[in-house]
Amino acid sequence: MSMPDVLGAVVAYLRGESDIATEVGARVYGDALPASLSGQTVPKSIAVRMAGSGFDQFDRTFVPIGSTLFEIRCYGPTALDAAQVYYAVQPAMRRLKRHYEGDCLIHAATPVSKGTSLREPDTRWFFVRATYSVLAAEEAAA
Amino acid sequence: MAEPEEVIVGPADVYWSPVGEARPGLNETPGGNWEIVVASDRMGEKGVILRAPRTATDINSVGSITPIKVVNTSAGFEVEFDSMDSRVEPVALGAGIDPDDIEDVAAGGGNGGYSEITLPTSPIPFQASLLIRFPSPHLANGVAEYYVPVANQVGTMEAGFTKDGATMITHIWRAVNTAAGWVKYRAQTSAVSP
Repeated sequence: MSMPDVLGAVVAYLRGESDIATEVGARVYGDALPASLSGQTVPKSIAVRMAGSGFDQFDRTFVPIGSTLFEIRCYGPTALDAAQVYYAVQPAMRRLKRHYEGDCLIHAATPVSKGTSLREPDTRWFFVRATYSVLAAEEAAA
Repeated sequence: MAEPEEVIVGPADVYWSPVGEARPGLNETPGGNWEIVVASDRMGEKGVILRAPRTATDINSVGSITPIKVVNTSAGFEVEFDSMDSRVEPVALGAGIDPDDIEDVAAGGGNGGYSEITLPTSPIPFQASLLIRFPSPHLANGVAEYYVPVANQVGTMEAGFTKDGATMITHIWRAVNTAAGWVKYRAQTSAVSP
């Protein structure tokens, strides 16, 4: 049986947070920003992508729970705008605990690397990159 | 098939009340004289540790090197956690002081108002009832709790003030078995019914 879609759950969780909606509306996406946002500048928006991670204590058991590293890119038309998006994302991820999205149960999220201001090499878009280790059930909730 | 909520992750919330206060319903938010000692968002890294130390003694029959039975010779229960809440009331509880003994002084004489406690000088530890609340492992969005009818604050309060760390008060509460009963654990198994 497939494990629940943790990436989709993180995207849905961030979309549902009012502080984030204030910053980016519904522009929270899995993996990358959509082609429709491929202008000279990018509006405030968020892309969540899987970024691996080593095995954790649960991987040494048969308990179906595990951590996945997620990279969250917070975009904005300026570096300051991107930072403002990050400042909404960081507390939302910190307070994430025992949260259900559909059949996915997220237990907690822990910051691994906090915000780093960067620019996309091709588009020159401003973004802040942060990574979080998300601990979630690998079996579906009823 | 197992359900994912059977695995509990994350710190609990700890509430206290004077001994003898009615235990709240499992789906009631503790109110009245029940107050939070420390919420999970003011809890130190080690979270809440529940410990039931026990001493067991093997009984051997004459001539046998293997035990024929085991008896418990002592059993206890302790609750330990670090509070990052430095307001006077949680510090009083951590130091073993009844929060009713907090003295509130109004502003005046060129000074602001303040709350003050005197650290304990009595040989009798402060007693309270405790509730340790966390999600139910049986039910999505359910509630579970440990209830300690009578617990003594026996922690050795140590507040560190450093440049690179938050001040924490370590609480250690040790249960006693009185007419009020012993420690209970319950977890919600079905939805709330009117």
